[in-house]
Amino acid sequence: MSYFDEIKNYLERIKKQDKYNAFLEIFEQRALNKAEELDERKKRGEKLGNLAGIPVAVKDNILVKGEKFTCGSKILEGFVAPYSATVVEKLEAADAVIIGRTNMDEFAMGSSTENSAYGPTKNPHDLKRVAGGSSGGSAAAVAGDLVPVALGSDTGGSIRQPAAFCGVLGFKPTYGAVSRYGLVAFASSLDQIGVFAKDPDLLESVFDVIYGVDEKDETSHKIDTSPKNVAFQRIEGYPKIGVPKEFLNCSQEVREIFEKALKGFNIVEISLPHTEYAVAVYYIVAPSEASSNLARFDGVRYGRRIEGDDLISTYSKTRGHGFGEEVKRRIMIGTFSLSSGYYDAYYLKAQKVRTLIAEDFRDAFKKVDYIVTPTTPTPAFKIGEITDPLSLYLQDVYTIPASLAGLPAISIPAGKTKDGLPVGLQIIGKRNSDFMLLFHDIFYFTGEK
Amino acid sequence: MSEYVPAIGLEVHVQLKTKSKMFCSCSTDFGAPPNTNICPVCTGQPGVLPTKNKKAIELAIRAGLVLNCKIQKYSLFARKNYFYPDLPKAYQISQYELPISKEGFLMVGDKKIRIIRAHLEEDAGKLLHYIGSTPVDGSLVDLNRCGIPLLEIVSYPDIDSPQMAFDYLKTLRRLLRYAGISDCDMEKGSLRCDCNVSVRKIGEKLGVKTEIKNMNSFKEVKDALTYEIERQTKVLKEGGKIFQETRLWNPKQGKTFAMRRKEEAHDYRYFPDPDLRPIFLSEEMISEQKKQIPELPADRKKRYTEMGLSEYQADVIIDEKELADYFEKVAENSNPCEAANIIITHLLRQINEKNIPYSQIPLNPQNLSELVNLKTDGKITPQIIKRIFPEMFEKNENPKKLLENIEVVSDEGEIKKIVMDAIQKNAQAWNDYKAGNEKASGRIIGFVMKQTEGSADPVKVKKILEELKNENFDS
Ligand SMILES: [Zn+2]
Repeated sequence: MSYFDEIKNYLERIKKQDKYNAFLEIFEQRALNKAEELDERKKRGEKLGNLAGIPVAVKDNILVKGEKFTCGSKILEGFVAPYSATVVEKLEAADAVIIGRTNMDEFAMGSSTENSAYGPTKNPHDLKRVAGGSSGGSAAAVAGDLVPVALGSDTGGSIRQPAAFCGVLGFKPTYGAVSRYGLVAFASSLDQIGVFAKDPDLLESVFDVIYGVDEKDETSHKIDTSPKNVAFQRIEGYPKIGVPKEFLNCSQEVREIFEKALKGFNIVEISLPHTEYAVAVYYIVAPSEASSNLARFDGVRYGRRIEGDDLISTYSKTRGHGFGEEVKRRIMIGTFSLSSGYYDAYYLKAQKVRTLIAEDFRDAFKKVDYIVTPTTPTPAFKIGEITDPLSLYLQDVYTIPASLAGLPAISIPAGKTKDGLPVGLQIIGKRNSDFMLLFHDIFYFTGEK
Repeated sequence: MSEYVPAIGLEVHVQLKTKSKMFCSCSTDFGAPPNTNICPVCTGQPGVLPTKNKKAIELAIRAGLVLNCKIQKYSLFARKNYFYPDLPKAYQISQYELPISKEGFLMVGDKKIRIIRAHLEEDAGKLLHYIGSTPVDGSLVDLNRCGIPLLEIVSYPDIDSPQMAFDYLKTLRRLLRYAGISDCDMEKGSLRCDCNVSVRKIGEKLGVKTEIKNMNSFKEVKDALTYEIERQTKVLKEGGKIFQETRLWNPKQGKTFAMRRKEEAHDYRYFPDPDLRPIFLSEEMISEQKKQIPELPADRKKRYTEMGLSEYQADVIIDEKELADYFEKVAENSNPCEAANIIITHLLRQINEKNIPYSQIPLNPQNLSELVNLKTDGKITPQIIKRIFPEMFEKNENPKKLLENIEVVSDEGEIKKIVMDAIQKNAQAWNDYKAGNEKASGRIIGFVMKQTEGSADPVKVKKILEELKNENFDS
């Protein structure tokens, strides 16, 4: 089959079968043009890139030049990306086909994709349930077999939590392993682009394309690539797996599935004593950065503008109408935390505790090779079931600590509940050990290789 | 005289001399059409990230060194958050708690003005107002300046008069231009100055200050300070109160007007910019910048006065580095004092009249040193220099060649006739001269030169005068 026909099939499938509201838009013309180009080049006998013809969906906060993007918000309605994110350039250079953009919680703020201005994304395993968030669209697109692979972004769990809810692999690399250039910032010190897939090999090859130092992103850095060329050998007693006792206050069913998945491994109970502060720290640091990052959406240069009588009222009308409730709530929290007189007590204090959380991990990794936890305390909840923001924030209780410490972490399917809902298991690796995580451990826990 | 004394602190923003902007690769060229030197980064498009300009950091180190600051090996960029249409990200990247350099000083004459800090930041864009006009009725934004690298140099309130503020600015500009850090051109916006000023009775602690903005020249800074000091003094004398506020200078009215009070001031919600790594400076980077610092104006002045130049001459010559460099080339092959003299009287006049930049002086220093040598050898009179200089300057002509075309009266007989005529008409001077007053000869020589339009050989004139004196010639 030609690349053209293959991509055409994918496009048809998305059009017909996306009952999940996973996609916000398909880039039909772009995808078909790329497929045609690939067929041409193949005919000429040219060597094609490593991802030739593979359709990739991207979360709606990653810019694709010439295509619209909204970050799941009304405020950016109608805005066309003036440039491509580094990851998109890299994927296209590897001949992947960018096939469309996926739904998300507005500006990546949420854990259910219910905060999207374009309606919630439904879980392919149970359409009454959420797909998780904020990268719910990408997770559902992969889980529903609309695409084999999709990009998401993870700030406090936005890849791992929906991956767990949808029963797919969701990988958040080390902070700085993948360039953030062209990812609309939510919380700059936490945001990281990552990958969803079902097939670990495909996930690894996509990561292999997108990782790397980018001169456009000062926070990008080299990671350890030595495991790439080393064939894995099973060594007695390796790996030593730490299970932090602070991460086991989950539902009974999740705990049973988790413990079953770990049977036969070399398990050590460890402690990450500052875990209890992680959610609080996160909800100071992330909104603070967000309050500054989202200030540029003021109606002056791009996106939606609602004219007021003067400049100030234009600002407040534009932002008042353009942003949803959760975004406004977090902007308020962040603005407050950074205000003079409160900065030391909130932002600065939170950063100090963040350091302690990172040190917990450093100490733990002196004793163990990996840290394994349930990805979420419960399986996917029903759409509309959780309305209290604080309860929703606690969805990320197991994913936030690795984000605060900048560590690579992957959620893998560990089993299903009696109701057939997927349960995820999170493996956290040492800083920069991304390839280690991908090569060894998916294999261990899923038993697929 | 009032018993109130002012305390003035200056906040000077200078544009660092880089080819590209602080956090992107856009050009910093002045005068480009609006919104042509822009890119996704400096227009704050969603998803962009800043990356530091290494050259700007190097120049900031160099500035810290020439301002005698402590260079901080670890410094941070912070975000200064506020909404304004000329600020696309709605925050300015600046340095807050940890600036790149701090605690320095600048010598202004004999007075030491302490520097609090000199920190890096990016410039904002520019608003162009067309309210009530066609086709555009409203304001437009030009983002060309957005992201231009700036160094903000903040002084302590050690300046105690508007004149000293003026001198501080001149000294600072000269220093930064010498060291290649900034062009400091106020007209092109590469130097801006805000003033903090308060008055107090002698011996009392600092009074409430106001901040004055919108001065477009050093002279306006001086005028605005003079006005504001008078205003504050008057208010206090009448038992009033000074409010901490920002005031705008209106050059047409020669007054300052209140803009916003401190209570309405922004809370900028500074925090370290998570998109930028901290600046780590190595010993090598600092010593490399030390090497880049040329001889500075104060050192040059000292050297020139040691060469014999007067204070005044040295001050004029060192004012611009390019002029001083030119002077040195002339003085290499001629007498420095005479060279300075001719440069100040003749060369600068030509430069000012024709409005030529120092970098484009048409006359090369070799030709000028020949002229200086002719003068010191007594082979040319000031009058002749005056006559030939404009042509020499413009055409870069060798002075000897120009002299060929000037009819020099050198026939002794003819000169003697003119001299004798001059003696007849200046009898008193001649008698004085004969009585031993050497200076009196000047009047007679001057008369001769006037008659001959400066073309008489002055050596011969002098010789003839001496002969006639010895002959006891009588008028
Ligand atoms: Zn730019």
